[in-house]
Amino acid sequence: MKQLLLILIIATTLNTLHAQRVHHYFGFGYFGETLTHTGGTLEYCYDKYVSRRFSFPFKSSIGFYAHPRNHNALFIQAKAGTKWHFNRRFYIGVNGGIGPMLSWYNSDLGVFEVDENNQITEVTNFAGIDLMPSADVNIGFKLSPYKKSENQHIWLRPTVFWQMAVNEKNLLHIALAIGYSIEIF
Amino acid sequence: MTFKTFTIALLSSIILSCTTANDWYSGDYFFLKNKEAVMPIWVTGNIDSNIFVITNHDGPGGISGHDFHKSTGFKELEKKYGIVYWDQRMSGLSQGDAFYGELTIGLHTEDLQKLITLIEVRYKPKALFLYGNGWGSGIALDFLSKKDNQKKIRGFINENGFINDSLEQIFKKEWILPRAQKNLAETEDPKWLKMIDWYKNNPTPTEANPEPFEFIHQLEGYYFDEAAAREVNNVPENQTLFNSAYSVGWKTNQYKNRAFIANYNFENAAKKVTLPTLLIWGVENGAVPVKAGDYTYNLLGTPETEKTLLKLDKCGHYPHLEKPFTWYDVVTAFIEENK
Repeated sequence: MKQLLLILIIATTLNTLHAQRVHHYFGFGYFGETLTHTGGTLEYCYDKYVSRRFSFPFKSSIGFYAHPRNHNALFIQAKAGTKWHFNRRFYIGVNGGIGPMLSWYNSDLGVFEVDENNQITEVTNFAGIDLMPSADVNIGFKLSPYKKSENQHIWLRPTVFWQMAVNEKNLLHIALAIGYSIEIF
Repeated sequence: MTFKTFTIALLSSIILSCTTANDWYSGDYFFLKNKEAVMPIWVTGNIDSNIFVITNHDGPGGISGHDFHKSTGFKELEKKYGIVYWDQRMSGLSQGDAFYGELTIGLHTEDLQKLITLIEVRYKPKALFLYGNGWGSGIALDFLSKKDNQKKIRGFINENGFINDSLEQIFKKEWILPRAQKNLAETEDPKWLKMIDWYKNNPTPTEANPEPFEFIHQLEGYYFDEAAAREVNNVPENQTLFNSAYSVGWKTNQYKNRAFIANYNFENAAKKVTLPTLLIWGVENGAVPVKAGDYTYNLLGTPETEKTLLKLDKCGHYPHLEKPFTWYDVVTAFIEENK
């Protein structure tokens, strides 16, 4: 019983010490809207551990993608989520995010207006700024789990996000992000 | 199918869609902006022929003009002529900030007018043909009845086109009720009784009522044989999902309310049309029953010698999908005769 109590005290102490730890990561990756429409993303992550197993990541990211013959987008996201580190190598988590999305019509020839006198004018392809809520599942693999610093991860994030609004509707998109993060301090 | 097999199949289809050449990126692609709507226009096929077929899709809402490209009928037609696919405002892959509350039939006709001007100026075509399916044919009739628009077009291909809401509702009712009664007698499924009762309580519906539309779907009135149509057209879904202009949300984000077209009537427009016209109707079509084809044929101002009504057996609302080779033969013959 004493041994068990000792183990519990040590575990709690270690957990508390760990809980004080905050990891800062820089990451980058591929961002494919509808999986195959190419883009990229850069992110900073502030990952606060509340126990050895759980942490709460807060992220800010910027990204872009080009969907040929549909639209191009540039987006900024503020994200919050949770991560469960179920061993030294793997973690899984979920994130929710929100931010602005700037989009441009993607075409071969441009965007045209025809006036009442049948005169044709090429107009800007800038489509405007929409709100972009998002959610992703974050599956990660730690490349250097035993080092105290320069912890590196590769990650895979199936993502859904919405373009609010196109023609009064919240246009649903899916994406897959695949990337790499490194602990910066 | 096991999870592993499913994953392998999904990954293979994604890789294949990326690596194999597909024609979803052929031709020219641009947008027409008009009154808050930004509508995609895809000009593809044999552009060098300088003969163009401008399509106008069904709907309104919920359908993309890009879908025509999935049909064997249009794929064959692309080999011979330039084909213009486009999406109406708030339909298909259209973007912009249009509002449902501002939708009118007149605004759709105005968009079509501007699209045709854009094609005329950009391509200086030798001959333009106008093709419409369902609602798209109604809008085409409205366009042709205005100003000197018929001078721009060499011929009109009217596939199962809208003509008059109240009349079509009668034809639809005549198509739905006997089938619902037969199914009720055979299966005793209460959904058929619900259809019959609905018509008792709503004897004179309009396009504002979604129910007839749903009943026709339940009675498979859009296709005579959808599985056979899929087989003959055979477009890999992975191409449209992962490697085309389509976005994932396009179908779920379309408006469903068609109330703004309730009581449409294109009869006066049809009377003004004197162009050579090819009418194509599926005999099994429940959405715009074949009686509407006879009615439109008689109404058109086109001389008897220059209009034809082709009725296709074992065919529903989409002859270009269900009878693609017959469809291609008659459409090509019509274009060659009038180009």
